[in-house]
Amino acid sequence: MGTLWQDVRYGLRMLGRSPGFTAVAVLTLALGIGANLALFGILNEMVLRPKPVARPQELWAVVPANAARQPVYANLCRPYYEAIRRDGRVFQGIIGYAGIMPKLRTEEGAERIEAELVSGEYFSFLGVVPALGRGFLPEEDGQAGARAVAVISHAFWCSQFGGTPDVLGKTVTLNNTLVEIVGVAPKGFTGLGYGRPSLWLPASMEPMLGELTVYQLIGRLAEPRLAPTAADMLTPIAAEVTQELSTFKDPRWSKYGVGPSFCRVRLDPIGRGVLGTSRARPKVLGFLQFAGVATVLLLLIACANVASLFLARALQRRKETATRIALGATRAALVRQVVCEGILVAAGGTAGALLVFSWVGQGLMKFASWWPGPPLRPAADLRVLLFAAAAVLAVGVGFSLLPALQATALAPAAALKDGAGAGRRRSWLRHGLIVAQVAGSLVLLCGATLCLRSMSKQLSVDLGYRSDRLAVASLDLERVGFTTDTAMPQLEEIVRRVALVPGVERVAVSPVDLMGGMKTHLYVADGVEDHNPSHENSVEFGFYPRVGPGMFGVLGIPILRGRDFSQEDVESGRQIVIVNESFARKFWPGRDPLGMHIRQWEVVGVVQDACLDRFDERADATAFRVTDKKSLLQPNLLIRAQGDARGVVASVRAELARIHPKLVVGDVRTLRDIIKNTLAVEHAALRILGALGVLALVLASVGVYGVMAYMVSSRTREIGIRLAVGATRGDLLRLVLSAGLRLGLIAAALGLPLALGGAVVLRHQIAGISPFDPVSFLAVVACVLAALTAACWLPARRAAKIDPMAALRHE
Amino acid sequence: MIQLKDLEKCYETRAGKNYVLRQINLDIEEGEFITIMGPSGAGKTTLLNILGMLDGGWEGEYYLFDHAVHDLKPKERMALNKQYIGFVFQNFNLLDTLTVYENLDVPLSYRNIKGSERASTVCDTLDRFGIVGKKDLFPGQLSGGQQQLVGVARAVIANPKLLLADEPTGNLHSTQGEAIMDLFKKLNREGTTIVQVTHNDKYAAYSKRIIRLKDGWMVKE
Repeated sequence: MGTLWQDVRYGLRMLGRSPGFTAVAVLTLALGIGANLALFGILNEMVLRPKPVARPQELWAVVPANAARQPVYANLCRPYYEAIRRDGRVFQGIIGYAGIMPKLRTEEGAERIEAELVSGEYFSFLGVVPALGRGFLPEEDGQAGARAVAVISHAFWCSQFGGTPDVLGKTVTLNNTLVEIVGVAPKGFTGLGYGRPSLWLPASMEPMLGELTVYQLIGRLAEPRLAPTAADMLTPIAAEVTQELSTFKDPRWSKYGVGPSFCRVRLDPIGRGVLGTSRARPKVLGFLQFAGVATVLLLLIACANVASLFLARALQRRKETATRIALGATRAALVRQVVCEGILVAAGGTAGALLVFSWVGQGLMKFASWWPGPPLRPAADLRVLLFAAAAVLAVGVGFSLLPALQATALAPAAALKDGAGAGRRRSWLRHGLIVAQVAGSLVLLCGATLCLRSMSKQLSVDLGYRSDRLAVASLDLERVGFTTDTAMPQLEEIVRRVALVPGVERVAVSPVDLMGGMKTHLYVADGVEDHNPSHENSVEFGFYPRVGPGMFGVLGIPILRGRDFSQEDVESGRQIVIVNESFARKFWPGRDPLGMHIRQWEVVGVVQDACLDRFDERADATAFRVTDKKSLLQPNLLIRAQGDARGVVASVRAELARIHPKLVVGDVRTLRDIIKNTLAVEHAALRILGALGVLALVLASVGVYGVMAYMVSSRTREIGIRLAVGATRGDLLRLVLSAGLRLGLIAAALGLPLALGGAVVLRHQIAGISPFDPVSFLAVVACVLAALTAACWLPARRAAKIDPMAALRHE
Repeated sequence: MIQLKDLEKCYETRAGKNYVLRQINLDIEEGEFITIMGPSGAGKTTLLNILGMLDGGWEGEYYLFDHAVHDLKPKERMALNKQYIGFVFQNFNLLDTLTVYENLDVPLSYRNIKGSERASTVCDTLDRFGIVGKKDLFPGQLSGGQQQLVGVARAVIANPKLLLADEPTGNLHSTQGEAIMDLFKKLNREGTTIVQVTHNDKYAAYSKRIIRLKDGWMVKE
């Protein structure tokens, strides 16, 4: 222990004596460790940190799955919850909760807030004891609309009621329903999902609030190994409910539709992390996987960089090492000393990384624009600290061991005689470390370039209309005090004023979310006039979004037959639809769709197929219903610009703010940006790989510069001799540049196969180009070689300017 | 104490073997004070390094007490070095980043001696060499003579039986050189066997025996 302490003291002193070296090494490692620590912090928040509930390890989520047991989207409504609870064989208790966005009445109007409808035993099942008041009573979730009560979150209690204890018994108005507060959740409890609900309501209030309640079902299993069996037992129960719902006989559940590929149940653990069984899970895990590979690579590059610094320093200390050997030091003791210094530097880097850990984590999350929850603020808990400690040891030993072994493998007699002087092996190692850094940065940059070219190709896909001239603003008229009766004149005024903004060509309003990507209202295509399903047992689905008048015109989607919707259609609530070409082809091949009916809706027009829901899928058979007035309380304002839509975004934003500062939800965005957002994982991967790749290349270039500068300095005498025997300045420039480029070419030869391997990993995120796209790889190699040439230039110039007389006197 | 039989050391070159020591036969008794002399390139330092186990790759027989060094592996030779030998260098080779106290502590720390015992030994040595007042200074803050004094103190702190000194006065002026040689004489009287390399006849006279080398051969004793 005493020896260890002595090593630490000596190491600290040695590092303190070389503040420049120490600062560079610590900062380089802080960069690499910080990125990994921040990523681990996010991983910790998302999937590792146990939820603040009783026995979180026993909680399992019921997840709808397809035949291959892959999660699929399906609206799990209350009948599923009731059926599983009734069965009672599988779980030791089950709860259901559903995220909703009811309108909270405020002084100004109404505001959407996050809330959860939960089954009656929600709090007792989770073992969550309210900080104030109580949870729900069994009878409060018994009969529909039994009693309007709520448990509010700690944050809501503090923000809305100032944290006063007399909140119990007070009321809030949600969707025009008066709700009594009966409890306050404990601080830190924010439910089981990634959302931050302001309050919890009994599920029996669903009809009262008029919300669509898609359940997450959570059960308790004492033994994890029972999960597969339990899932198999749940599958027939769910299938029975699905069969019943497919008849659409019960009007309470028909609005939920049926998931077309939901035929199995799987159970996923949900007791840890905020991610739960969110639909974003695959995206999040994909993102973490990308970011994980990239940050580990960055750390390895940082380690190689610091290792070469350590090696150079070890060479300078050769004589000291030899003296220590002469004084009786064993090689193990010498290695231990160097490794101890390495661990100290790694500890310094990790401490620095921990200081900015939360900030870097939040920064990293900015890459994840698709994250649906509130901003994550990674906190340093025991797991993070253990990860940090492991990083200190792994990184500290990892980068210093090789230089330590190299530096201590010397003949003491020779070292005592001539002091420094690099051997061939050390030179090989130093060059090897540089090659590793350059190859690593090449891998990252190849990944980034592939993502960039893939995105560019995907964004140039034909949507059926021009996306570059469109901008969208989500409006909330209800929030600023309008109702169904008063909203229409206001909308007309908004459309008129925005249309007058310079550069704007046409404007329309429509409830449809362009590129929303979620077909949550898939309907069984029953009631299609004159259509008989091709097979007796097949179920055909249609997609029936609501759109506003003028939307097709603004988007530039040609109306092939019939007419567009009119304002009068909206006012009168006519039962009419416009179908697209695919719908007409699928259900009425060779016939005129105009005048045909889908259920009670009459077809008044046919439009050209266009990608409205996803840019990367062909248009489905779609029947567009005319919007109702209620849907226009939260419409999207569609703006067609005369030129590039980016040119009008700022002025449209300003005009809307002049109408009402709170009118726009989020921001005014171009459709191209919205599409980019749907490529979120690719975009995040591109930004992360790009940023880390550039960072890695900078580190590698600095390393190359260092090696070349060292080479010039240690070969000064040789350069003097070369000059004396007739070498020109150009010869010397070539000598140094060719040495640097030789390293670059070796790195390219080693890095390209690795980059091709990385492309195989990335292939699922790459579309429109081959994962082995030669343009991307060649462009990166050229870029890396150019960076290395730049890094070698200064040492090369220095070599070319050496005075031969001075060089010949150089020792 | 030491017996060398037909000891030879050579380097392989393209032109053939280049011998730096040839057929060295030498006996050193315990308590002796020997000086090795000779012109540059005669093999003096090489012989000293071989005696101190810092140089390998030689041929012949080397016995240190009852140990046949020529049969030992490098690790075992370093163990012998640690047990019996202390080194004094021409350019002192003090560790610049350590204080005088810590420099003296270094050899002890490599010998698995307890901290309290080491502290006591270092304090005794500081006292014995009259450098207590310098204990917190770094080598750069000492004169050449003082540095070599610390170098000798460091060499003998672990009580070596054999002290090897490679031109210990080479970087010192005459007064300092004489002081170091007086110190060697005193150490020798106290029982330490000393083998030194020097070019200086005056300092060679402090020893009891002089061995002369030329072109790797022992020419005279």
